[in-house]
Amino acid sequence: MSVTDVALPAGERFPEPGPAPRTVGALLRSLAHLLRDPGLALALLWVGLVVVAAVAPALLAPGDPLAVDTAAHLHAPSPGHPFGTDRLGRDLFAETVHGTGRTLPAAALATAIGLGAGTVLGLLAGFLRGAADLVIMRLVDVLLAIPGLLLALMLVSVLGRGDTVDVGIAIGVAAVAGTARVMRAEVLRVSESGFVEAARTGGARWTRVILRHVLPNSMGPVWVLTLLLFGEAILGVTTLSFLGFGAQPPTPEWGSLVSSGRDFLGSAWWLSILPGTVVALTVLAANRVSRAFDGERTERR
Amino acid sequence: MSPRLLEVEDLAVHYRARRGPVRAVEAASFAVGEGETVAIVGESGSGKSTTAYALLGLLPKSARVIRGRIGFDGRDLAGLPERRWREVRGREIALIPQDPGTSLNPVQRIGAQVAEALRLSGGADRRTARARTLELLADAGLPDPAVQARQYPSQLSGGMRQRALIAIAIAARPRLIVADEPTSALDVTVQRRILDHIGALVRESGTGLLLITHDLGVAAERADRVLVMRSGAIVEQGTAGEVLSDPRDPYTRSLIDAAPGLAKTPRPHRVRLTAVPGGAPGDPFAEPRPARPPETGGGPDVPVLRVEELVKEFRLPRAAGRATAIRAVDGVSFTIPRGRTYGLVGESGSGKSTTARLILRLADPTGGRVLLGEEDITGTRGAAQRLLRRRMQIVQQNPFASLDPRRSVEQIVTDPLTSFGLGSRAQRRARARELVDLVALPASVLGRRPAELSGGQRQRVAIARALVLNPELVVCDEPVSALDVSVQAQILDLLAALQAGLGVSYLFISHDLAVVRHIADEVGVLHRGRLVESGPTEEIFAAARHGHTRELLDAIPGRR
Repeated sequence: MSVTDVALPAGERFPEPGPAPRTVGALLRSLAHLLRDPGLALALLWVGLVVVAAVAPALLAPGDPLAVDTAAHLHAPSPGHPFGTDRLGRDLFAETVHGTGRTLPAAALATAIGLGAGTVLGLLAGFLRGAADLVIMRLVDVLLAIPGLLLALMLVSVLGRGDTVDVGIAIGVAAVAGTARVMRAEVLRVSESGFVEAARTGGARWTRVILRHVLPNSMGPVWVLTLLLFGEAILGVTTLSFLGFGAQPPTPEWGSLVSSGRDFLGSAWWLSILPGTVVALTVLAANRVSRAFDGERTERR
Repeated sequence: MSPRLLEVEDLAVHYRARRGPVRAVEAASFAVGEGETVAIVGESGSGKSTTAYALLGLLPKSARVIRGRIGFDGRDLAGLPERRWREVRGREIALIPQDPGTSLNPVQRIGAQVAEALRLSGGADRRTARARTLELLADAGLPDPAVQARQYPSQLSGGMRQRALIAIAIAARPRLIVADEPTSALDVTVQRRILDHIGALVRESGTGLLLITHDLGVAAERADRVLVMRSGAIVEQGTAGEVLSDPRDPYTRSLIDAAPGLAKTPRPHRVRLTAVPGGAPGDPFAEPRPARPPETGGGPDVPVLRVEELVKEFRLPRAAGRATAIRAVDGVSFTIPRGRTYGLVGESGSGKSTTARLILRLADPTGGRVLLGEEDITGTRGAAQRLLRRRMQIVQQNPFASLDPRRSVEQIVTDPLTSFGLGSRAQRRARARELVDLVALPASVLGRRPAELSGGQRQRVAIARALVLNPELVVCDEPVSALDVSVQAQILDLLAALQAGLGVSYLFISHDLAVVRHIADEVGVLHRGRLVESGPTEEIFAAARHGHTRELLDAIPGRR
């Protein structure tokens, strides 16, 4: 193989393209750009705290969350007990922090199922088209026709082992439809692109076209959906455990904490309100971060 | 000289960007007189559109007029507040936008959109609007205004939509019309009629016209005076005749050289390749065999491609009393000798891209045969069809869509090798280096992604990808129509040089006869799916027999 010698006048050569933008500096700059928005910075901080609480709760709330202190039951929030204590004198802050370790993994499982199954279904429907598209999308329509929470309730009753894994699976299945639709729309767009035709002309097999070209270029909107879905899953998981599915007492979990405080709303408001606020803030923070990613994506287009 | 309508002095527009300001326009000074047509010519990124939008107060938020005066009728428009702009924009200065496909509201009838422009500018009230609308549509050259006024944009052709936009632009009898590439999305013959019409309107009404175009041929033919812009600065300014016959700036000279329609004879190709990369056709890593293997189709006497009576019909949704199918390709036959170029020319909808897809086996023909070498490939599918890909490759029209944005240039170029499992990783890498060098790109692009390359560089990458398998035939589907003229010329030179060096054959598809003239040995003209004329390129240029060919030839800007 001889390398071809191209006799080009000097001016015919293209100038070297500018420096590649993918450097650590650029990454830091875009991070700084993100943090210029204080609301977003707070949201990121909150998500970070929640993740720490799920992974290493002892860092935020040392001590046993289930330690009973009957002498100090139903104390209002104070410096010693920032969230107050419940009817058995357990520290509500410690319970909330340790409850994260139940709620978050279940929500993560739900998100993974919703994204994974939804992506595969959307990819197949969008790429195969025809009959496969018709069948898959009608199934998705059926899923969409049943309200998500109702579907999840049904599934969790069928699975019926009474732990947070069931709840995660149920919420995840209920979220498949949305992802599948988004994915299908993207796949339809991407498979029309020139580079997919070029890959086919280049002799690529279908599997290679899907995995190397269509999938990576269709995932963008789905990634943005991830955090949004995660927020919704947290809400779904806490709702189901509020209703008594999922983690059984005394295991702390956000939804069951809110639920067990229900009877004391008149006398000890903090029992339901404070864990409930944590849930609300987490969902809001996830939405805010998701929106920021979406904005970044559209800006770059 | 006619009284000055618009006087721009020392205009500077900068864009805010993360890496500091981008100087889009610097120190631009020019004037447009009443009834005068001034053309601004430049390539993409030269600042010509930014200049136009500054005159209309339509700059995006990130842009700012840093300096300068926009004198219009004794007033300075630079720094005018948005509220005051509304009195000028549309009423005194009107815009004919670039893309007729997206510039009309798709859910409103044409008549309603023109009437709205009329009422906003105070040109008519509710009662007179209808009659005036029809008058305007007729002035803009629509054949049957009463019908078109009731139609939606999707029911009109591109040329008719552009006429509707012209009607909107002239609704308020503006004193200056800014036309931003008004015809670059249209077929050449339509382009000529639209430009003729705008010219006539301007002459009758004494309106000033600022024509923004990338096509020096169009500018020279239509404008009284021509400005040439490059990277934000006006490098040349004068009457059309002066600029064309005696360009002072070297950049203008290179633009004139590059413009395919302005040259009287084909340019000699300046690029020469001296050596040929080895390997057998279809597999660059195989040892070249002394005699051509029989399966690749015999000796040099056998043409690389024969197309016989090719037909493709598309079914239409069932409608009462209508034909149930349209023939997109209707009995097309031609032959491409080995190592030569066949140019297929036609307007949009003439069936040229469909023909390409049939040949590449991306679609199934309704009738006819396609022979690659001596092999009939018309009905191949599955593995046999996949093997064909090693012998035929494609270079697509839009280099911004034809490269996977998430992969590096090296991955893109070697993709066909990886698909066929040819060579080791090191061999593929070496082959990518070789090809990138062959298409005259620096080796440093191998690690880059397409987004970091210019349009011309991307098209070079696409050419490298098409050649990586040593194909016998490359189908070039409008390979230069998305590129600036000077880049066009470079890519055409490159294609010609590659053919001389590698002996590859091309099917070259284009809407532009002037471009085809520079590259093709033979030309076929497609009109509504039929091949109406075919023959050696120079014969067709010297003595076209078919009326449609002559119409296409006449429409080449700058040829009169």
